[in-house]
Amino acid sequence: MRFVDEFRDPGLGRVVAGEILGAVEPGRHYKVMEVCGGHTHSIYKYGVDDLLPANVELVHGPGCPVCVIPMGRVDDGIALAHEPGVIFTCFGDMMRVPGSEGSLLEAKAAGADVRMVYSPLDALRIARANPDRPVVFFAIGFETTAPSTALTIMRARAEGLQNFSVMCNHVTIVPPLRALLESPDLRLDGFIGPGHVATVVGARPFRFIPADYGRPVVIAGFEPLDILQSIHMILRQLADGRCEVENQYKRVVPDEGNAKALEVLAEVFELRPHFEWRGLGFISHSGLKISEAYADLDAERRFSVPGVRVADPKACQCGEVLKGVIKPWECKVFGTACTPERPIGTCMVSSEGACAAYYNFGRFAREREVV
Amino acid sequence: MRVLAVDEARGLALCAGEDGAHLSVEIALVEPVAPGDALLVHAGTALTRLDAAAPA
Amino acid sequence: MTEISNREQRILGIIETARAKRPKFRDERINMAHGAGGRATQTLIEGLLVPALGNASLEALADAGTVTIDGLDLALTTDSFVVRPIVFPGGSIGELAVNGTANDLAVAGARPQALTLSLVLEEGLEADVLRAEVEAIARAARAADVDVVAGDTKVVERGHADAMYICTTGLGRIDTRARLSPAALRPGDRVLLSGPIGEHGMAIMLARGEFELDAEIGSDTRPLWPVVDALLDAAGGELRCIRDATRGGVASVLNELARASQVAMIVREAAVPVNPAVAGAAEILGIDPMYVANEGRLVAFVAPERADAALAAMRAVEGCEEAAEIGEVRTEPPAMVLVETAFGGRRVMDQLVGDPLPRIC
Repeated sequence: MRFVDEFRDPGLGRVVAGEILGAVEPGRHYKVMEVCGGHTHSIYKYGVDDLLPANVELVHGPGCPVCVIPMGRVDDGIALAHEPGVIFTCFGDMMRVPGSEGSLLEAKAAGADVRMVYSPLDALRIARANPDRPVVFFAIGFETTAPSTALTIMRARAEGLQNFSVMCNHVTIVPPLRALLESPDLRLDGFIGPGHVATVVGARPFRFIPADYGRPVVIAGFEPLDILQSIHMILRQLADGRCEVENQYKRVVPDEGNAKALEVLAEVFELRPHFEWRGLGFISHSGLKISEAYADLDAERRFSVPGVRVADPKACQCGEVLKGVIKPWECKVFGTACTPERPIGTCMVSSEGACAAYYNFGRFAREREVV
Repeated sequence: MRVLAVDEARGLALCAGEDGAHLSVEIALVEPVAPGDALLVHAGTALTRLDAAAPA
Repeated sequence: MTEISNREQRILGIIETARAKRPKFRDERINMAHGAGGRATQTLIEGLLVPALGNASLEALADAGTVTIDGLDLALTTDSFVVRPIVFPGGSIGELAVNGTANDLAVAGARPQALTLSLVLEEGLEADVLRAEVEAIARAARAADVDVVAGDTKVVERGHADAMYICTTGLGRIDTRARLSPAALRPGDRVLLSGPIGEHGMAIMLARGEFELDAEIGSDTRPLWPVVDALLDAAGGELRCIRDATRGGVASVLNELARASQVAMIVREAAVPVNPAVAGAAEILGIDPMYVANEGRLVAFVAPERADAALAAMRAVEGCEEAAEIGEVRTEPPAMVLVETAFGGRRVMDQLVGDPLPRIC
């Protein structure tokens, strides 16, 4: 296809795959979690799994911002979309997430003005172009995208835009990781750390993982070679008896993160006392809301939303998938009652969801060597 | 992505991807930038500069 | 030593059985996904339309239907064009209408002969715009060597029809050299692609100006009969099947055929031609070019002994110089399309769900 850059080079891939084979202790089974949905997507898209021995099992983590949105918040979004005159903007994946009475795509078919955007700046453009209509942006994402939303809110304020507001569903990465590590269900050997979140927060916030839980972390880039190299680095740490945070993605991630981004986050957002995560329950200090200073740009204050907590459907096992306790295909409804075109849960909808990734890319019998 | 031109008044940079696509990018988190700089861009916002040695 | 989980295998088997069943159309309303050319479109067609209207020709679900009158095999097709905006880099709705219809006939193995044209015009449409489209239609018809033999016009109130919609039918006689059918696919057959992918859909996407994104991409709309003619010449009865890769892209066409003929296919990602501008813009938008609509590309399945000759014949046709062999047909896993990624791993390439690019043709 396109010119293959070195981080997608199959020759280099085979070299690192060989190094991984060399670093594996024969007969030992390793469980390595990739936290970030972007890594899950990349792993399946490039078939990285194929280059690993069967001893190395990749466990998918909760770092998929669409996947963790509970049904009640989707319903709130739909309620906003149905407010008279509102132009409701969101990322493409959000449109198919099921709420308790259908998705945003279905709300659009029923008459709500729901529009897909690729960035919050696009939503701001829509607001400028439609001054007499309220425009709401449904913001999702971890610390990677929260600064983008914050800057957009600051721009709206600076321009004096009266018709723009944001419904904030941003979440932070550390609390769910801690919740996972505290959970007795899971025994993990190491973590592939989120490369883009780290460009904002740096490497330091992940030190608690080796320090308090004795597990190595390697912050990884998103190309297939980055992921393979990071797995190799985790295995090397385990073999050497080391336990620390390493940065494989040095070409992009500064160890100290982006101070300006953190400043902007602190100015526009504050932590909610707790926030509900789909399948993981309430986690304290894990969600962001818009601060008092920017209250007029907060859609939840401009409009009233139902704010009803909706339990996941009984059949849905997204929570267990997000925690890595079960594999997508082990969910009772995977591929039968829950498919990408008729999803029950969020993991099947998002391009970063483990179930969608496995269903769309990984759904075939593979044979791998056991070392 | 590589910076082609900077619009200081609006705080945006016109950037080009490796394959020629042009995108207007929010640069508040990485400024000041100059034409030729390489940036990591995510959903329309530049998050960090890339090493001089790294691909755009 | 190999280790395959039996449980995982069993579950994959159950999923495949469920997928093989005729879909039921259960949606309460039509939404944009139904127009994407992927799963939802398939469910609409196979779950609602075919059961109500079914006959052997319709159930073949090909781009054109075959009708035999007094021993003469004719291909008959219909199409509608609702692209927005109506003029875009590389073409316009009128040109799309002629080429799109003619191509449905061409891939059925029929030289396009005649078209009908039905224009639904929006009140307020400028006469100059309409004139330009009519001229585009006339030019495209001459280039494709077809006659527009009948037509109709309607006008609807301002706010409907987005400037104009065009609906067509096309008629052609099936070439005596053609033995085309999904049922003809055999393991070992080679998959050929006539040129770089993703240009039309990306051009439309960017022409909408909804994103702060710009690139040098133009629609690839062109008549495909010349390359079909060349393929029939080079491969004759060993040309198994051809499809034009319109909405839903190459991925959708391969999946439809894999399902229709219950074979497997493997595609080598590194072999698929994509222009750098398309790859770059698609990467920024998070879209896979394999799912993006084309309006001037076809996929051809050829028996292995004729594949080299067929490819050479394609490359000699203007516009198809970058034609490539991108994969082959296998037996396992049935009805599935696998990709050998440029990195050396493998993955499934499934049908499209949802619609990343609405109203592109």
